[in-house]
Amino acid sequence: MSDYIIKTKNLTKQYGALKSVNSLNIHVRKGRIYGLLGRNGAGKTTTMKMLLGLTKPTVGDVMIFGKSLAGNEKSILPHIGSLIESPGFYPNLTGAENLQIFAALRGISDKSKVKDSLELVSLPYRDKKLYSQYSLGMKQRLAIALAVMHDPELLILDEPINGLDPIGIAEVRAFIRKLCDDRGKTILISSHILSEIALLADDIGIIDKGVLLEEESLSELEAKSSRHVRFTVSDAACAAKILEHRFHEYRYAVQDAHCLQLHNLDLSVGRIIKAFVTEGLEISEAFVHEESLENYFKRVTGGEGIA
Amino acid sequence: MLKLIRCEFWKIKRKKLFHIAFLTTFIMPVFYFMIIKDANLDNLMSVVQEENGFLVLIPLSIILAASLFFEEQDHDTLKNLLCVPVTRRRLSLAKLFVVLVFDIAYELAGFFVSLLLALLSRIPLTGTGRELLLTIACGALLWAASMPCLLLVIWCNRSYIISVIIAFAYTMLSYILHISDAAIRVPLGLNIPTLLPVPVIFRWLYQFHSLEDAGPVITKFYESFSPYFVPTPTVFAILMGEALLCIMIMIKIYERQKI
Repeated sequence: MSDYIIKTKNLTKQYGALKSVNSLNIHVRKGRIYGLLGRNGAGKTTTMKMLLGLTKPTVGDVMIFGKSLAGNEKSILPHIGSLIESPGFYPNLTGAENLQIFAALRGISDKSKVKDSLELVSLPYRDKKLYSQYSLGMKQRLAIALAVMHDPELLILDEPINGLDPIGIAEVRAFIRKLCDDRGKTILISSHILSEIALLADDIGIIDKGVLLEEESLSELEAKSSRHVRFTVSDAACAAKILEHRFHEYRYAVQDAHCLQLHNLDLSVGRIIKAFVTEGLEISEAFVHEESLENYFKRVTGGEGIA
Repeated sequence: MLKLIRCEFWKIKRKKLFHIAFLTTFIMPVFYFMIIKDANLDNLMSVVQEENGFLVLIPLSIILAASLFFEEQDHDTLKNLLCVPVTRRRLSLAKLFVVLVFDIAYELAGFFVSLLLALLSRIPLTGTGRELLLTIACGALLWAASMPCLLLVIWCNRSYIISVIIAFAYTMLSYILHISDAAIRVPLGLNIPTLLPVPVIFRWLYQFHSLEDAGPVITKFYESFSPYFVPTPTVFAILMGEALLCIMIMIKIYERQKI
């Protein structure tokens, strides 16, 4: 099995002439949180539905746990916990009764699992309140409890913080992080809220109009988007040595043979240029790059829509 | 499959529709008992099997089945079930089984109410074993008879109001046909009347009526109608065959419905 828990190959979903998802190739690594970031209608939910076999792809293949999902649903799906769009439960039953139904269907004989998963999301077990009387936040918590109840290896969570209050958001965020860090779960999470993805994800995929625009680790994206000085020189490796020896500066990234990014803006750019010239380097460009992560996403996706 | 059926029963907990529907089983026998002075057990049972069955149970089972099928979409629970994974085919079969159990239980409740009324008014209890078997068989056959209409309801995939309208239209049409000579006085064979569920059930059921206390009109009708009686294996073959076909189409439609 490869390192990827989820891997898609040219995943495409077409409704009539409209391509909701277009040749998507995402790679979700084991034990990591992958954030799928995109505006509303970008194709996040459709992608997740295809990953769960809820919608058949028009073209392409989904590989989960190293196996093709098509034809292996029975062996793959029991190892996945999911929350797609809004929570869906039976309104005439309590939260615990709803979970008991799914526990029975999943063959969970341990009755404490229902109780534990409710406690995990701070919902009472012995509560007579029916699901129809739940607030949106409680419904969302119950959906998360359902997703984790059977202790799945992989979680696919579509906008899991929708409807939660600020404290609830922080709790769910910490809970998701803990699932990944302490229990080694692999999590695919979607959101249109940049700050949420930035706070939670290890790897990020940016999707827009059904197309995956970028797929990188958060640190790589931060490096791309943060404030830095960008030098285009005749020899980037030599420039890096000068920074280390003359300025004792290690907060830089060599992008390619000629391009170097310096992430410390406290150093005098004039002094650095002078040092480069003294050492015989040719400098064709030096400028301060001040793009924020948010602006970066806006630029990549071509406009507004990501909070 | 057993787990799925058990879960379907859990889902109807606190559902007023099911409870109210079940209570209607008492209406016809009690009403009949109150207006007919010389009622006997056979008359009471025929009210349960025919009037209660043809006029009340058929629309009820269609509406209840539609409610079971539509609730997954209405409450967005289908995606959770499919991710378990539960196939739509098994889910449909479990729901239809719940309706079958409801139909038989409904008919049985009517049977026991009639039995109680007969006991209270000292009506002789003759042939109760046979009536019990007929009542159970009726429940199963009426379930099968509701399948063509349920298929239409699922195919339309519209609101409950439309489902109710379709169910009552089907019920009224079936009831009218079962008292129409054009539908019941036709020999068995490859013809439309043979395929009409309610008239065929009536042609099967009527042969079991007792002629003990019957007047000359009833006796004459019985004798003239007897050539058109349908044997038990035949009625089951026709109705279960139709139900099977409807269920297969229903599953195909249900499988194609988007989430």
